[in-house]
Amino acid sequence: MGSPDKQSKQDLLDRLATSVIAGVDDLMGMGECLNVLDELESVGVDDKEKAEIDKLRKLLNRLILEESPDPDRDWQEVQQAIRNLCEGTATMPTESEIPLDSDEQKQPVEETPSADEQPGGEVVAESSVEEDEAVQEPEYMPVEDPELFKDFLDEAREHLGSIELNMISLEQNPEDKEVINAVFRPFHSIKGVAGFLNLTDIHELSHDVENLLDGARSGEFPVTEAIIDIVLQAVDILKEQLDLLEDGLSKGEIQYKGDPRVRQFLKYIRNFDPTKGHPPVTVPKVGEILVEKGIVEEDHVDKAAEEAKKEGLKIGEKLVKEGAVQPQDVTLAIREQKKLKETATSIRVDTQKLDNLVDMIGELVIAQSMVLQNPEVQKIRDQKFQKDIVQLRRITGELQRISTSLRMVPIKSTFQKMIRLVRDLSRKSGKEVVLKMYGEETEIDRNMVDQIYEPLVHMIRNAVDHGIEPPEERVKAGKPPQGTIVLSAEQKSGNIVIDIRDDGRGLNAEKIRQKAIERGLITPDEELDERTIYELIFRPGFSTKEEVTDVSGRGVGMDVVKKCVEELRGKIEVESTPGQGSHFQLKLPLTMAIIDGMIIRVGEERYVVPTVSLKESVRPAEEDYCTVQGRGEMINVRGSLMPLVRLHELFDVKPKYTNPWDALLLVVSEDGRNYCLLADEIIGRQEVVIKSLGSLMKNVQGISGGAILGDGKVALIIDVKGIVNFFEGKNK
Amino acid sequence: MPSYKDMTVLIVDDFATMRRIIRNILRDLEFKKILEAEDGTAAVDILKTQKVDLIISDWNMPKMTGLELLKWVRSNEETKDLPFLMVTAEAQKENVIEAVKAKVSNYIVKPFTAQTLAEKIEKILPKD
Repeated sequence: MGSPDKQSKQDLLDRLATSVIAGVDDLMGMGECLNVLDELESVGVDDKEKAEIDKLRKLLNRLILEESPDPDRDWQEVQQAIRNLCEGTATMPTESEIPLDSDEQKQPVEETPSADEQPGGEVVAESSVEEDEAVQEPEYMPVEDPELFKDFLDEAREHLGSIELNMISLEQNPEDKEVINAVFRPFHSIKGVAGFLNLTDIHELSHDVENLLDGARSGEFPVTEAIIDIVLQAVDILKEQLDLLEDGLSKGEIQYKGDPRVRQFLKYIRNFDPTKGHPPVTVPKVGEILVEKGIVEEDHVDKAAEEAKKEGLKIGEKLVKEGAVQPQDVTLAIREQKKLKETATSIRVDTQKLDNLVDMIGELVIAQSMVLQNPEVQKIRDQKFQKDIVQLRRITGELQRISTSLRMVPIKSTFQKMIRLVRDLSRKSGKEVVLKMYGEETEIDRNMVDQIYEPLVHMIRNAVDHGIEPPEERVKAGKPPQGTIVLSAEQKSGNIVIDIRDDGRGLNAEKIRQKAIERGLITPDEELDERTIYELIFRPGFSTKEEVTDVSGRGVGMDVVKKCVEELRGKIEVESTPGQGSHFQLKLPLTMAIIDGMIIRVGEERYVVPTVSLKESVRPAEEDYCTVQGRGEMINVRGSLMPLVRLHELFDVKPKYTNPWDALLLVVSEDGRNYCLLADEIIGRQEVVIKSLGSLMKNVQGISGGAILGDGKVALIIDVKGIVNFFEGKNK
Repeated sequence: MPSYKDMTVLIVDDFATMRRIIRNILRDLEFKKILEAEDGTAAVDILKTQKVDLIISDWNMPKMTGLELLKWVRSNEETKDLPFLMVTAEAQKENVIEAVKAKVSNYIVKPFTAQTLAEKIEKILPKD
């Protein structure tokens, strides 16, 4: 055995000279010789020696593989070449008398099963593709050793079972060599034994699939869905073949060759181009995730990936070693990758189908309550019936819960777009900004994902442009030069809460006030508290920055953000500490499909008021009612006057009560002002499925949709903002 | 013809039918003591406790491949000179050359005839 230490060239040549290859059958001697040649090359050889070594290696390979057309002549050339090398008489070697590189010397790997190439192996009938065309009829042979076949049947079936199991994990990890090998191996074994048993069909089929998988295993092409399909189909056909074999065993004569189905499938595989098609799922690489997160630059990762490959390291290890990233960044990225792999097992469903499903389940729940509220049904006093109802309710309840969750997706994809945004913005504005994100896994209604993107972009832009100060200003203020924006999401009491915090200069109340006066949003003599002043930034046409910047632009202000959020039936609030930063909070409903509503009655009609907009309900005394000049009817609720909105007048229905002190008042808040809605009574609180009123009635002010109530009748859902606007307009 | 009566052969293959096929051929060649292992690790366990005169091993096996087994055999003082016949269907150059460099005694490509196996064994087993 050669010592692992690097030996001098002379030592190696000595070893070569003394090593004796006993003859053409001495594989061990040839192996030793090949090892010495490898070592020789690694210590450095001149061109002549290199050529001699190459020639020697080719000769040896040919002898080992039993491909030599004339082993004795090759053997002599081997000895001559060794002598040339050792005695230093290596001249540019003459081309071997038998050409070394001609095509016929190359091992046939494709097309014909290579296993059949073994000299002396006359057992296996060779069959080429051309022959396949000719063989149409199945051929049969008598069984000599049924026990052996029975063993094979059992074992082959077991192996096929393992293939199917492994295919599942292969589909999830199409690049995992271990998994590919686990699928490859059973085909390989089946093929081997089928070859011995002369089962030509099974042998060829498993051979071709094995070849295909071998290509995938060695990375020649990715495991595509098409390949997975072929493998699964091959398993099915092999199972059929095994059944046929079992059948034949009982008759003493088996079909071994020429099955039309196998022939057809073989033709398909042989014409199949595995390099076409795409892998079923693509999971981003760890490096890509790190780039996306903005932790490292793409160029850097590419370079590191190359070096890592050479050093046999993983990209994460390499980057950590370089100090480019923290180990925890890599762990997080790997975890994320894993999660993506998990989500990769999901299936795609048309959102329309999903929406229909959710709608129908909503209808189901409503139909259920219609049945249960039917007076005839309610008369039933049977205990079993009552028990069954509870069970039914539980199932439909669960169904509804699941159907809502079907449409929920992690907010992550939206958040991740912000990373890029912040990076671009900070580069453009010359500010250093770090974006921290939490709660990316928080789930949000799929329909809302796209709609919150714009508001988020606006707020992040504002934070970078208006909030975060330039580095020198920050240092002067005693802050780190790098500004931080924290973006977080969480699910809180039936809402999705998204927070955007920055540690910038905060809102300047005085400046906002001045601006609002300039714009005519408020009068100079209006006394406003800080909070109310902050709220002014959500008014249309408000912008505190004098110059138009590339970043924020003009005309797009927080009013747009507010509008977007309100369209989603959400709320936005702002808090700020001068010099410390601002905090915007978005509160969005979990889903767009269902709202929590208070059902009220006005005359014969019922309406749904979203509980989000509802502050309280009051029954005023007669003396709380008054009329204020120029502002109409007002109600005094614990010392503050609120305009009275007569819903029956707006909707033109005949109410039961017209006097506010007989009726019930719902206090709602809009734009920081409170209003009292006049209704007959509150029927109850209920979650309702929102139904669109269709395109014709889409823009009816004050109504956001309809809901089907338990008795099957429709109630309109009140849009408080619309009602208030309509009311104010009417008053003016 | 050499006499194989007193020799112990170890067949390593994860496919029982394959082991059976080889065993049947070996019986015809008058081998009496035939051991079986279903993969490289099981083979190593046997090699640690029993004296074996010839190993016939499949290449592609789970847990420990034939090549890994070969490397283990060659690196172990007790077994380093054991005749080792590699059974392979992967008649691809690199694979066989790799085994030869790892000092395989000889190799045989599946599927083979009884005669071929007999010839290969004759080549590597020292004659009496």
